[in-house]
Amino acid sequence: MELHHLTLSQAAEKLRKKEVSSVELTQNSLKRIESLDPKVGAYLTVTADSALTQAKAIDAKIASGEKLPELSGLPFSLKDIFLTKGIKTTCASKILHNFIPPYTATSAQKLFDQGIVLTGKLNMDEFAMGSSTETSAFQQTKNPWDLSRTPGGSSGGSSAAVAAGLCYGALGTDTGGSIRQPAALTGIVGLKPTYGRVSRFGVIAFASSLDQVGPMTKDVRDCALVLNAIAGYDDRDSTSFKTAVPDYTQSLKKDCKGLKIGVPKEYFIPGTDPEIDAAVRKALETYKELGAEIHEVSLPHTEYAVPTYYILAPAEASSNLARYDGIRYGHRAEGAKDLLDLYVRSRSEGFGAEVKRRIMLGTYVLSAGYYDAYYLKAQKVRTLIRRDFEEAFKKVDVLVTPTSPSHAFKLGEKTDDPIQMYLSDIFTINVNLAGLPGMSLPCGMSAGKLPIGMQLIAGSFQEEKIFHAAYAYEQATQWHQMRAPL
Amino acid sequence: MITRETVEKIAKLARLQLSESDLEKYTGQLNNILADVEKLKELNTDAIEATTHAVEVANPLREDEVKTNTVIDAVLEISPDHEAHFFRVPKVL
Repeated sequence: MELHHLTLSQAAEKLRKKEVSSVELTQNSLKRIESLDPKVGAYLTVTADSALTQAKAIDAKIASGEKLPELSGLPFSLKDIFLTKGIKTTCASKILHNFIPPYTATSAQKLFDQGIVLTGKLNMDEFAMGSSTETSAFQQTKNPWDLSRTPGGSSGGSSAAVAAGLCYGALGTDTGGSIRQPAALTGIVGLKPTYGRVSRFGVIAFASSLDQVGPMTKDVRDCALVLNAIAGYDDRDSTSFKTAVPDYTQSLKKDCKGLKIGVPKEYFIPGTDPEIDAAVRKALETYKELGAEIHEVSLPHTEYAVPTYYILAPAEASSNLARYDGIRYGHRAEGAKDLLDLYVRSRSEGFGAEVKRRIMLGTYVLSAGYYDAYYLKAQKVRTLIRRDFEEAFKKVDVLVTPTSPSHAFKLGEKTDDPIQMYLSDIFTINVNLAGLPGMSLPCGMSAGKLPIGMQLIAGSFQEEKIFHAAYAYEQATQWHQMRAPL
Repeated sequence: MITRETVEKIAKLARLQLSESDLEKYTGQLNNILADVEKLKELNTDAIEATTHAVEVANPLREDEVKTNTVIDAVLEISPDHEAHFFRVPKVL
């Protein structure tokens, strides 16, 4: 197999057996970025020099016989929302075009401590607001399976880079589906862990009660390895959870005897592409063959998730993004006549159209006289959505649904219609509102050669059940071996 | 219905300056989005508690210790304009 097709685990084994060096892996990744990224557009920053320095240091440790963590020496990249000390971090926004953070995000630091080799920072929707990576202020990322289509979003640089074999794994963030939807659209594995499982310290905030960090990898085992590395309590994020982190690779089992799988009927609707619906139903047959029990369940408030999200997320965003004022960091407008004018000009020049739209919406729903009607109402509906899941998980271990109602859509297809774009997250948003873990993994291929993803959802801090169900399915099928034709 | 005047007022609150064409566009789009949101009114939520955090969290406490902050210079270094240990802004008074 060619070097760039390897998973993190396979590359790690080759390193251990000294069949390849970290410098060779890194040079190979950098060469692929150089030749292919002009087409794919995944990278906003490539850190070639520091990557090679890191790789050499790892090789020296291997040569001296030092025992290293499994991820050591492997080329890895980060969505440009993770603060990286001394390396430009833009959140794909003009307002941070010149921002070089003075510290590093906890999740990124934990990966550096494992010895990953950072090869660069990846494109995304501006401030993670979007489902196609088209709201990036800087460039367009394309789907490696079909360069005229979106790689999904907001973590579309991450999904494209992993699917194109430009790096071996990446981190993304997920507020309403931003890890899972791009994973589905590019044929890779993406996990949004339980809210609080991974520290958000040093991750640029979008909607603080919904944002979560997670792995984007080529297969389920890689996903478990990365989650092992990044999960856990952080005293600098008071919403991270003080609970033990299991070794998730221990959950990778091949049979599903006794596993109870729930199929929420509200997720199998006429609006979904028939090929996607068929692929997920076929996966349920595979689960039966593996010994799982299949139960139909109901999540009756599913249809309220999108409107609930489009109050809560913009409200939190309008508050979080108030910090971009041109005073302390980021873009400052020239020629302001007074302080207020400086704020207004810096923000108006710095933010793009989708970010402004959400700030406006959020400011409106939080403004005097409307708070109860919108924000409080949405928080109450959020409770109903959570309860639906709590009821379902009294009966079943995991839920299986499609990840996205459509295949990767054409670039430009939905940019003029925000509501159409928002509906592409219809199956993923609920999971964020309920704070639950959800994974997308490949489960098929359309006639037009576009990947299909299915979503596994479990109760709070039940990631192990997801890993169990995901690995068993993956090992019984061939989808995880698909590689984009690049 | 949100009027164009309301959108202008919201922009002012949000510290954004919108062009004429943006004002038009956002007025239409915000109305469409809020029309979808009306759907939530179908649900009676009088007796339902609001969810602020999906996962129950308590405030984690720690000892109140004096620590030295080592990033002040680095933070000032990346600011658009500073002098000594201050961010510089246009004259306020």
